[in-house]
Amino acid sequence: MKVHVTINGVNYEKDVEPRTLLAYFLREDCGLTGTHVGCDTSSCGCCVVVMDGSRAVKSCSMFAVQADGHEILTVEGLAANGKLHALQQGFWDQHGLQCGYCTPGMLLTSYALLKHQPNPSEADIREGLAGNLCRCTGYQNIVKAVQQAAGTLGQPAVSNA
Amino acid sequence: MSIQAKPLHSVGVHMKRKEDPRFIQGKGNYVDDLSFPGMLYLSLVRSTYPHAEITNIDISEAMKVPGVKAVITGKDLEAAGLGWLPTFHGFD
Repeated sequence: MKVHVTINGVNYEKDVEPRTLLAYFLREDCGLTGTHVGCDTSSCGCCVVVMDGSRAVKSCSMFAVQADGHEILTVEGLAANGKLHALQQGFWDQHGLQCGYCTPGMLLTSYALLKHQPNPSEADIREGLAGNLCRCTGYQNIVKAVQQAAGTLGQPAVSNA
Repeated sequence: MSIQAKPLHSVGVHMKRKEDPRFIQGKGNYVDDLSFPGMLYLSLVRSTYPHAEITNIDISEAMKVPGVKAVITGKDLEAAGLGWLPTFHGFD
């Protein structure tokens, strides 16, 4: 089946088997290996990409053909003109990654989270990232990274939910 | 009297990691990101028993499956000198 997808602002037109998952389409058909496959059970969130600007989706749980006509943002599309996105800067500054495998998913889920909640509390961030697992960091610095990007780092951890 | 400790090398100093830029931009080059012409794929077969002794592994049926290049068992590792790692407890 023919699939037309705009990924990171670039139009891709590919012919794929209908059973091709979006994650593998991105990685193998489009050569964008920043999106990772971590679990085969839809649990880990390493595969998260953002659809149509603000919707975080697990690309392992979606067919490529379901993305036909849609816009996809992957980790490779976060930096603009060589300048890191505030979230990427946050993860770097706050030591929000160790092996880096979960990081693309963390970045994109956070991206969507901040689109919906530009001023999230720590509790909001932790809940928003509930679908993203990390085996290395213990999450504390990931939360700080998102807070830095949101401009709320250092504020008291009071939930505004 | 107060003592000012001078930072020893990098201890106590906030440092940004050098490897992060490629990870945060999706350029990590993990094993699954590698691609070579004619490359093979490895699949692990794990024990279905938590505590058991392997008496035999019969690879003959697996070797008949089209596309299978090799089935590697403990015997092959032993022959290659990649046997058990020594530990203090050994075998109880």
